[in-house]
Order: sequence, then C-alpha cells, then structure tokens
Amino acid sequence: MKRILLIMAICLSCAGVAGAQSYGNSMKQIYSLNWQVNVPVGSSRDFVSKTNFEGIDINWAYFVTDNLAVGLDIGYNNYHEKFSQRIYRPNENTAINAAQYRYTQTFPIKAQVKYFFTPNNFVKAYAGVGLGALSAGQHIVIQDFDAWDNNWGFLMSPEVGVLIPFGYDNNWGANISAGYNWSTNKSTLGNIKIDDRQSFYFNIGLYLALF
Amino acid sequence: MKVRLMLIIFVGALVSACSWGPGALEETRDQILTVARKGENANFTNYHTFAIADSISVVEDGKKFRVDNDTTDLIVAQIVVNLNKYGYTQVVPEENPDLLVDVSYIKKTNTYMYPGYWDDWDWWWDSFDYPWYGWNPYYPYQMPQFISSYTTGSLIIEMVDVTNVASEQSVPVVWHGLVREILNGKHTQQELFASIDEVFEILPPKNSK
Repeated sequence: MKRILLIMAICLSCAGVAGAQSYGNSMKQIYSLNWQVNVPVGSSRDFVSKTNFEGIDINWAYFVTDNLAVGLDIGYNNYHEKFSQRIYRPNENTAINAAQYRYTQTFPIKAQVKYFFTPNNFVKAYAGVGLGALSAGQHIVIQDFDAWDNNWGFLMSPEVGVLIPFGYDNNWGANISAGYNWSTNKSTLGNIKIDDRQSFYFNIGLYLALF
Repeated sequence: MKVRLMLIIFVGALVSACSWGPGALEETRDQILTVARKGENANFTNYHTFAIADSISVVEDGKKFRVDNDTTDLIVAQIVVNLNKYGYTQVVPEENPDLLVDVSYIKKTNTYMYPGYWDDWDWWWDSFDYPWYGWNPYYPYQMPQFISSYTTGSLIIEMVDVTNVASEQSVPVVWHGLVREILNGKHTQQELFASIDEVFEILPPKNSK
C-alpha cells in the first residue's frame, strides 16, 4: 500500500512539473500605474532635501520569455522645499535677499528589463534595470522672480518589486517596488552645484496583466 | 472590502500626487525682500560725493508726485548714514556731485512697472537748472521684475553717475536698491531702517574687489 501511494505521489508530482513546464507563464503584458515617493540622495539634496511625495509612474512590460520582460517606464516627480530668508546671487552684481521656494520637476523615461523569479506563483517577485534619460527642471522662486534651468542626463535605475493579485482568479492587483535612480544631470543654478541626481524611489500602485 | 479600501487609498494618493501646486510658495511672499543691483562697468572708486533730495518721489496709479514729511526725512537720513558708511560725502546739488541719489516709493500701482518707470529725474532738472537738463538715465543691466500690480509700498533707491553729465547726455544708473512692500503699513520703523541697511549690506555701492 505504501509503495502504491509512493508511486502515485511521484506520478502526480511529475505530472505537476510536466504541466507547469508545458503551460509556463501565461502573462504576456503587464501595465501598471503607480504613486511614487522619492528620497533625494547626494548633491541634489543641496537644492531640495525634502522627500518628494508628488510622483507618478506608468509602466509597461512585455514578456519575451516566461521569466523575462522588456518594457518602458515614464514618470513625473515634483521635489519642493521652502527656505527662510537668504541671499541669492545670480551674478556678482546682483543680490536678492528673500525667502526662497525651490522646486525640481523631473521626467524620467527609460527602457526596462525585468526578470520575474516566480511568474507562476501567487506573489510574483521581480528584479530589473532601466536605462534611459532624465529631464530635470530646477527653479528658485523669489516672490515674482523665477530663476530656472533645465537639463538632461543619462539615467540608470535598478529596481526590485512584487506583483500581488487581488485574488487567485484576478488578472490585476497591487504593484509594490523600490529602486534607485542615478542620472548624470548637472546644474549650478543659484551657485548650488549638482554633480548628478540620485534618489531612492518607492512605487505603490495597480497592475493589470494581459494573458 | 479590503480591495475597495486599497483602491480608495491609492486613488487618494494619486490625486495628492497630481496636486503639484507650489502651496508653500505663498508663505514666502509675505516676507521682506531686498534687491540690490549695480552696473557691471561702474568704477565706484571714481565717486566721492553725492547729492540727495529731501523729498521722495511717490508713484500711485500711474501718477508721480514728491512728498516731504517726517517719514521721508527719516528714510533719507538712513540712506545718508549708509552712504557715509561707504565713504561718500553728501554735498548740495550745486556743488557738482559725482552721484545723484533719488528715492521712490511705489505706493500703489495697477500697471506693469518697467525699470525707470518710477524714477523722477525730471524733478531734478526742473529744480536745479543746467547742467542736468536733458540727460537720459539708463540701466546698463537687466533689472529683475519685482514690482507688479500685486505689490504696494515698495521703496526704491537709485544712484546715477553724473561725473560726465556736462559732456554726455546719457548717464548710467550705477546702483539700484529695492525693498519690496516695506511701506505697506505692516512693518515697523525698525524694520524699515533695518531693511534700508540690509539693501546696502547685501551689495554695497563699491567695487567688489
């Protein structure tokens, strides 16, 4: 009896593996819309150091194998901070002493490759990297006066995340991910030297999988 | 139920993310602003004396007139204190000063204030005849726009180089100081004096090096 049960168990497990191998990952595309939070790091903190809660991220991934997806990611972030009265010198012959409102708006756009470790599990974990460009518009606003510059840089973003469906039969659910943006944007607006832009980012949003 | 709750939280977060107006910007508008600007090619070592009027020019809704009262006397006196501090000696206009100093008060405006709108140099040549008649002050630099229809009670101090006025019809505004909204009735006399001192301190009317 024990031998029969053992053979049945082996057969069932083999069938399960065979089924999994033949069925594979049936997801073809994933779309996600996320709320993004950014924590600035490095020299960009000298301009605005506050965590940015005004971010949005839109992501598309297309599976080229069961585990590997390629796609696009675009976003928008608005970093801002208020500063008490200080002297701003646009050049050596001008001085403006006033409270400042500084903000930076960034638009990252990148191609992404994601590897899904467990595409068939309920929770689908992934890691990826994005390469692209980042546009950063920096402003120092002093009452009616707005000094600004805009710069582009090469962008690289490693990222990890999970997809958690809202139920076993749902093709949609929550996307939770975290990553790091590093870009070559440079600025000297207001004599504040920014050598590159770096930030930790956190996404929380919804995804929709197409089969 | 949990999914609905999560959806509500997510939509709320997205809406807050999309409301990217600079809310804290308004809080920075209520504070005193001082601006100083000087000419790139001005050589302040050439200047030793200045003349300043007792009255100041007032601009209100496009009209200009001169005012001389206790407050304007205090303002002028504080400006003289600062100019003395930087080594300038006050003389009367008839003594051919190197610099003329004029003070303007933008009481209220409904119009766009381009640089020079507020000055009242006509008054100088009406009050003191030749050699100033006919000259044309100009700004050898771009002026930041800080006066608009939203601002009231701004004080402007300007200095023109009149060392060559007899031979040249155009004279440069070599130093410009602005204290925005200091005379709007919300500030004390101490704040007024401190802001006049400040506008001279942030960029003194002297050579940088």
